[in-house]
Amino acid sequence: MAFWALVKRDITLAWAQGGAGGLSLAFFMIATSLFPFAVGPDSEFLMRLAPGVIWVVALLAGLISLDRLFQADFEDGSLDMLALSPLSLEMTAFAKTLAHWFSVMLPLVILSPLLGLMLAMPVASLGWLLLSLLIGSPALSLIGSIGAALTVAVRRGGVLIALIILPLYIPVLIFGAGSLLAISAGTDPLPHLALSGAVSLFALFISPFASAAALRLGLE
Amino acid sequence: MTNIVAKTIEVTDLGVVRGGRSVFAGLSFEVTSGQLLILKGANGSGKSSLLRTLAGLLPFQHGSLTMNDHDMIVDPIAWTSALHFIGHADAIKPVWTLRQNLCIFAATALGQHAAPEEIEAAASMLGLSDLLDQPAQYFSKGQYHRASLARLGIGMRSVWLLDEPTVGLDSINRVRLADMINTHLSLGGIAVIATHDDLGIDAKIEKKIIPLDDYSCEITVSTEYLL
Repeated sequence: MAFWALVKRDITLAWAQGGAGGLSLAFFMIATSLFPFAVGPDSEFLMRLAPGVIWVVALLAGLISLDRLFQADFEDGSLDMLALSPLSLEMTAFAKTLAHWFSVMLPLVILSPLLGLMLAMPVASLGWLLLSLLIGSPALSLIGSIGAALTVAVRRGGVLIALIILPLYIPVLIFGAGSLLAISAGTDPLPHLALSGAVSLFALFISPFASAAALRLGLE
Repeated sequence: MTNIVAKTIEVTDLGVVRGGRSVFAGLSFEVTSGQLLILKGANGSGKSSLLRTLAGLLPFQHGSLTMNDHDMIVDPIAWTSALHFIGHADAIKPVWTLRQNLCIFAATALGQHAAPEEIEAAASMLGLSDLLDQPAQYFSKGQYHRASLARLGIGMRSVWLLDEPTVGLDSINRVRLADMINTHLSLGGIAVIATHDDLGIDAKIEKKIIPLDDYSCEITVSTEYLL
């Protein structure tokens, strides 16, 4: 019961006034729409660029909300309260990460076909864009939670998180955006998606333990 | 899940090291049902560290902690399910009303449902009834602190660990807090409170005082930490 109560709590907080959900979504839309201004409206070129741009911007949009994942609760003492809950710290970290995916990443995933359309992606590959983000984005939240937990006690740890987790995002990016490159090259995207799913599952296995270990250090 | 009712807490030869510095060492005491334990000591003598250790938030390097016959290391969930810990930070979310804050605290941190009557009773004990449906962002500093103390009224926990609970409270609310503590202890609860103030506790209640200054150590760097 405490697990789902915590997931619900964090989703409510993310969509409350000034929460991470709306900000990340707005960042995702605005940053993506900057690209046509910068590289020109040539639709052939935009179409080639689109999968990579959408993937990188979605990754960054998730990243900007990660530094508050544990830190907001650490600073106001709520993390102490959660550490004393009947949930283990592993489950607490996992519940918060799950809430991050639901409140921040899932809206980005759902909106991504719209942005794909704006960047002149062929309609037939919009579904693949959505699918690749759906399979790959859990890894972004799960790996990100480790970085957020490691920097929980660091003031202005946002840049530090980026330095820790961006290198770890490379496999997610390669297989996620790779599946779309495969489609435009006319080859089978499924191996890429399968590997992307494998990265998410591996992150699912590691993340709760690594995050909880990092939080224990931070709470000391 | 039923919460354990603590009859005794036994601390034996407790030693805590933080950042290579021994905060206190060789600390032993016992506190039983209905007793109040007051921690006294200068700033930095380890009052907050001891409370956080008792709550299970801070690991200890030496000694043992047992509640009834549950060892903290063996059974941390039984231990934490018996206590309320109110530290310096208020843990109140400004975007939520007091009612939401208390309700969500009960569901997430205590893992139990709080009935509306329980929340109203908890708020009224600290004179917060009128603020129940007010977002906490409009609260004053003192009201924030009272809101965090209102948690004590939720969930019937038998051990209260309070870190300087009177800071920022006016005289009316100090009396209200003293009433809460008196009631808790007369019902057989246990309280461990770090404070510099006179709490106004009932003369009938058995008090113990631990002068932490006696247990704090000179700055010693443990070699284990350096290696």
